[in-house]
Amino acid sequence: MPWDAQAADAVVAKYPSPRSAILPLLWLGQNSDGHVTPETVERVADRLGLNISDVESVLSFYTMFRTSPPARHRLQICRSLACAMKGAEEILEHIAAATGVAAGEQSADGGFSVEVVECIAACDHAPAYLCDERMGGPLSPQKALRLLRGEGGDEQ
Amino acid sequence: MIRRILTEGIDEFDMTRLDVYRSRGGYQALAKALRTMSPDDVADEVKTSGLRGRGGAGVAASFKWSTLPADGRPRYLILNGDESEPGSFSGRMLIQKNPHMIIEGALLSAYACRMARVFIYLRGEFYEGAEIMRRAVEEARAAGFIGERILGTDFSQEVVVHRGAGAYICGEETAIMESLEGKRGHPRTKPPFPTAAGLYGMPTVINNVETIANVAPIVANGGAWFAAIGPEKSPGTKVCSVSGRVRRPGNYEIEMGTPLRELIEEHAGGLEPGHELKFILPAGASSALIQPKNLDVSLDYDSLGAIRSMLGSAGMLVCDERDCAVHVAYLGARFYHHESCGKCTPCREGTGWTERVLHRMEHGLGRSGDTRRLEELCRGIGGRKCLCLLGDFSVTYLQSALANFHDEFEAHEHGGPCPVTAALEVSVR
Repeated sequence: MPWDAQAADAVVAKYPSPRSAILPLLWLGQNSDGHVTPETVERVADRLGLNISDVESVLSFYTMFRTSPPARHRLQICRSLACAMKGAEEILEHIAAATGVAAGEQSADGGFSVEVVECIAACDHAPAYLCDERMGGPLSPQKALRLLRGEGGDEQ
Repeated sequence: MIRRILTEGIDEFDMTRLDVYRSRGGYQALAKALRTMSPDDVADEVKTSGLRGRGGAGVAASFKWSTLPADGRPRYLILNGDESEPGSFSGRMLIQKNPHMIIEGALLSAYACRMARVFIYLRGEFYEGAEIMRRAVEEARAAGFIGERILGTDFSQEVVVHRGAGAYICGEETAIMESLEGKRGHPRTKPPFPTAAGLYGMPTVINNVETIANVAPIVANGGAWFAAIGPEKSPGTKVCSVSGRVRRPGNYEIEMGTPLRELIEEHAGGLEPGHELKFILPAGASSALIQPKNLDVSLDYDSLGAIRSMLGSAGMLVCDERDCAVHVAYLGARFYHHESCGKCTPCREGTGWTERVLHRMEHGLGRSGDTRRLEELCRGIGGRKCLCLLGDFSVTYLQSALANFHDEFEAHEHGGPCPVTAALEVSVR
């Protein structure tokens, strides 16, 4: 859904205090532009009557907000206890060896990025992952490479 | 034994659909309450049930409700669906598979406590869960269960689904309020407790989504029915998440009081073939480990407390002989360092320090005295020195591992590859 004044008003109306709408409005901006742009920060501050620094302080605290454009496909691999025990680190090493892209990096053509995340509450599917917005697992090195090519994998 | 109350029918039917949920008795408890019971009657049933909080602390749900001041200020109910404890994934399943039971429980709780608004806070990573929950709320609204004059009565209630955006700390009950107010998720000083001054400074109850899901069956069948299930002081069921080295990882709803052995060996299929149980973390990364000799402990709040562990969220992480106690400690330390919000010094500095020490031990660079250093760090961080319990959680497993596997830590003080797994490779050959 693109940002528009009406959508923003509908979000703000759900809360007793306008400031509560920061997270939903940042989500709205990120979902529409792929990342949170400086314009979104300004709009949110403007709409809620806050300083830009207030919005940026919140933006920087939450790990799921991005301030630069994402790769076409984003593979986030869980590295918390159950997933690490089931080989998450080895999969990351395999991806790095096969593609030259290490955790935290994006491929040169912007086709994909690889990230590590902490527990995503899918330990029953360890090693678990989020590919774009899909949660899945267990991940294997082969499946990881398929997901990076945008070929999909089995869903949870 | 398996006893399905919250998970009843979820594998066979699409309970995310309102018509399916209703055809199986859904929203009848709400109709019964609104037509034949006063708010206090509903609260009394929940009190009689003995329902305890399923998120971790195990506080009686009715205790939080009963401490709300009667001063006419608006009151808020927050459902905590920020499930982030490594090893816990029961909330994810309930949100994705039985959202209407959570919504019905929330409406009943809101009616009992005369709430001004209900917020369902879901962790940001639950993209699918948030979508399912939003759809369920809209379906319930269209059917007249949410909004103005519900079922033609004087009861009106708004329910807002609110998504987080990545922060373990927001599962903490004061941080979740800060987050909902549109701030960084930093815990607050207590007191005041949320029931006195919570969200927007108003009386607020924060209950886990699983706790709230229990309210609909309690109202439908009566508090006495619920109180009769399982041990007297821990009535009801618990959805246990089992992961790690078992054959069938997954969620299992068991009657409270079921032996841990039955959960692991029967329901989760036992250990992977050819491997031997080493220890279990019963409440995710933040719990004291359970040794195999205590496998017959009964799964309830008091029994696990008696062996100095906890039931908590019942995220059972099962480890076998391949899992070095130091490696597991390192994984936990890395997690807590990443998730410490940075507000209190013992936690912010201590989790980083602990991770650094464990990192070098884990990577063959351990130094003489590191084990003792970790023990000192545990004392420096733990003992309720911070605003919230994240710091304490970060050392709970570590302390129990140091006590039970002291030799494994000491063996990592001298560098080189992990002596625990190295010894294993020799014996396999």
